[in-house]
Amino acid sequence: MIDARPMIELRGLSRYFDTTRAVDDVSFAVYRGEVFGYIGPNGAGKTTSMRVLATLDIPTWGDALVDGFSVVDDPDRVRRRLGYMPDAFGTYANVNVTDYLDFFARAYGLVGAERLRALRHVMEFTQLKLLADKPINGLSKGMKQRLCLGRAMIHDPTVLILDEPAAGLDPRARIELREMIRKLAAEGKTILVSSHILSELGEMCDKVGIIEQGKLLAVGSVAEIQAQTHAYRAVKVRVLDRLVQLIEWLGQRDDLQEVRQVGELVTFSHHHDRSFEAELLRTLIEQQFAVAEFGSQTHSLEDVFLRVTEGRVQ
Amino acid sequence: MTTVGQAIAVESDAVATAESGRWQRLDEWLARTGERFNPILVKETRQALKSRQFLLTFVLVLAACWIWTFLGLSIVGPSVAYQAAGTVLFIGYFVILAFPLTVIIPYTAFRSLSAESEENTFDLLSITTLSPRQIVSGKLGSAAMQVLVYLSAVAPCLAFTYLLRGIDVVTISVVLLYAFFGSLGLSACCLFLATLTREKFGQIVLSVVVIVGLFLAFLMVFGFISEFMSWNYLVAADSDFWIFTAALFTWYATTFAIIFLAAAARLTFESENRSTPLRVAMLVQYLSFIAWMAWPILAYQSSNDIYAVVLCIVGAYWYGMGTMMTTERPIVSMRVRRRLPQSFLGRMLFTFFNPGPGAGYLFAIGNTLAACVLLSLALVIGGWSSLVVSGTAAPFPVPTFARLWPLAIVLVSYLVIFLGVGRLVIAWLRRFTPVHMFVGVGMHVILLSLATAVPLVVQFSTYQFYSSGYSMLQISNPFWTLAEIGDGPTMPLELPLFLIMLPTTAFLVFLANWKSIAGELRHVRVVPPARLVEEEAAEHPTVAAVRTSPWD
Repeated sequence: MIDARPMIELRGLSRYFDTTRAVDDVSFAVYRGEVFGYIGPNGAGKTTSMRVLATLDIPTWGDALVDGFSVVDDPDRVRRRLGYMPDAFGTYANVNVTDYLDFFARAYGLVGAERLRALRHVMEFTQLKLLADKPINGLSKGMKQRLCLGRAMIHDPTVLILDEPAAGLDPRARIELREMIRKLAAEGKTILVSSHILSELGEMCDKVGIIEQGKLLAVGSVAEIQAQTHAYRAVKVRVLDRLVQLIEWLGQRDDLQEVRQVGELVTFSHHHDRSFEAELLRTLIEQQFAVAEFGSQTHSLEDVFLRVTEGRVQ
Repeated sequence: MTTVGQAIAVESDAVATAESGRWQRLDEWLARTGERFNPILVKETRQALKSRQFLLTFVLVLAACWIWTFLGLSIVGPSVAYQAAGTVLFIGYFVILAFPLTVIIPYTAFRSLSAESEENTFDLLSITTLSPRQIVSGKLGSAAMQVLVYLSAVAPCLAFTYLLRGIDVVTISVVLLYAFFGSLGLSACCLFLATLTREKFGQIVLSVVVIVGLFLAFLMVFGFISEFMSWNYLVAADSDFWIFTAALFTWYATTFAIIFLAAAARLTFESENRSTPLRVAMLVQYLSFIAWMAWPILAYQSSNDIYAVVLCIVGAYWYGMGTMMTTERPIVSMRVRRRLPQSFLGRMLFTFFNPGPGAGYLFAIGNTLAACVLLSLALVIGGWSSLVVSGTAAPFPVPTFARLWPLAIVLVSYLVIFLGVGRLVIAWLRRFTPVHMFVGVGMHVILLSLATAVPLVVQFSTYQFYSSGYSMLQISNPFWTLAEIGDGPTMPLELPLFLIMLPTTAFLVFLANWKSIAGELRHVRVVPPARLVEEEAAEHPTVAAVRTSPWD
């Protein structure tokens, strides 16, 4: 169920640094419970947009809203609703995990039993309970990321902005983080997450936005962007024998393009829908081809990203 | 049936429960009190208790006190029994105490804030619900607590000096209070300096400046305490000392407020109102200065100099503050506009407090003009009161009046011209590049320096004018011109011409600024967005939107 009011909304957001247009007229909306992946090469403007959303920077033009409140005009209201996890981990000397979280809980105005409850909940959620008394300088990267996520959600915000949360994590930690994010989204939190690990984002995001050189190039679900960027569907076929005949037979058809052999597979593309593929499979079997494998090649988020962006940086 | 043993056991259990109940209540009370502390104070206290630097300094201070005790007593020798040796030992202890108070604690405060930027924690801190003032006051609270810890460490030694005679409790208390507030003031200055830049190179340069400055302050404290103790008098009996202390405290409190608010303003989000609190603090400092100056004015009203001195200090003060106010960005955010005064009376009186270079320009000029009026009133009232008190007709102070008004006209004209031209230059620069506060202030200083230095260089490098003294050439040099009018035995011959040229130029500069000033004055209160109204209504359902004061 999607609420009428977006939890995150960028309206023609622009942020210039002298002559550099770090973010240039970016607009999109994210609704309650959605996970939005923000993708782009280094220097594309992801972190700048996120900093504006987190009320750490001010837009040159346009506005950004969190739960209907402008980050420029009502930063105090935005801050109550927002948890921000930057790409750089901020640490204090001579502070352990509990003291660190306790400090931020106090800084968000949590007092007494409410603060203790929040601490307990966050420690359980991020599985930091066993590390409660450990100095934060001695934590591993994965533990620090968990702590950082815990800090961002200590005041139970409805919106989370996570800038490269999976950077530098090992596969297990990445999987755990992905599960945590999905769990938070299931609890109704709206999450804007940026990452370079596109396979991770493809699996956890409901929507993605692709940004390059400060401009938003595409926005929507991965399937929607695929449809926008890949007009043709790609199909791969494996047969047990008569490979050459298959290639010839497919090559003679006008409704198929780019027929080529890739190892033991034959790949081709078409611009029809799935029913066309079902009909084609039936015909192949009727033609006595021993089809061992037949399937659409889905375009991964990497493919979509590469198709949409041009690899330019500012 | 209960045995005696059982009864005793039950009774002792009850007592234990009651006692544990009392402890529990105390514990709960302490916990509740702890909740009210500034989170930064709590965190920094925890950090300090675990830090090696604090432990080392604390142990060194204690060790130094012990060493000085033995050394001091061995210097005094057997005469300690009949001679007043308290002063000598007090100076030693105070110097030991002064080092952490003037160097370590302020520098720790500086590092504490600059490290927030280096360690990427400032961003995390600034998006919490803590206000910038809470951040600064938390850091200051931590500094104050460290001062108290060091004071309590040295307290037994200080008490010991009292027993050795030669120094009274009032003097010890006054010196320690000076030390406490001095350390806090230095910490506030260091916190302000830490907000000036977030760039690595700038912070390194600032660190060096801060360390050098703090060591100089330490040397000054060393000189001060030696001098103060050498006077060898009882401060409690000296009324002039207390008047001086009260005046100093007024200056300290208002300057502290300005530095505190300036540091908080530097940490405040761009769309917030950073100017109004600072302008209020400036006004309070200015009014307190005028109030303190009333005493010498009334006491020495026959002297011309006091009026000229007060007026020149006021002019310099508002020029200094004006350089900063006229460098503000000419943008008033919608957030700020929601709280602008809206009634006619409110707009009349409080528009000068609105953020923006135009309002700041008017604020500086208006306050200087007000000083001119107040001083004129003081002249009139002073003459009248002396007539009432002494019963003799005091002559109307025509010579003073005749000197004050030309000085006032020239001073205000210079203020309007220099601030106005600086403001126009900054506005022009803003078309091409953002102008940082320090660049703007630097621009004002360059303008003033050029206006002063160029005629001086021309005059002293021209054979014809070299030895002719003050001349018309110096019209752009405010220092010499004002000194000539306010200080000289006779008015400069060019004065009538100055009284026409300078106000006319000032008027033209003001006119050139007027368009943008008028634009700022037209800002009116705007309605908050519907989303905010909706949430406010949900949070405070019973509070209706009413005017809370006639100024609303």
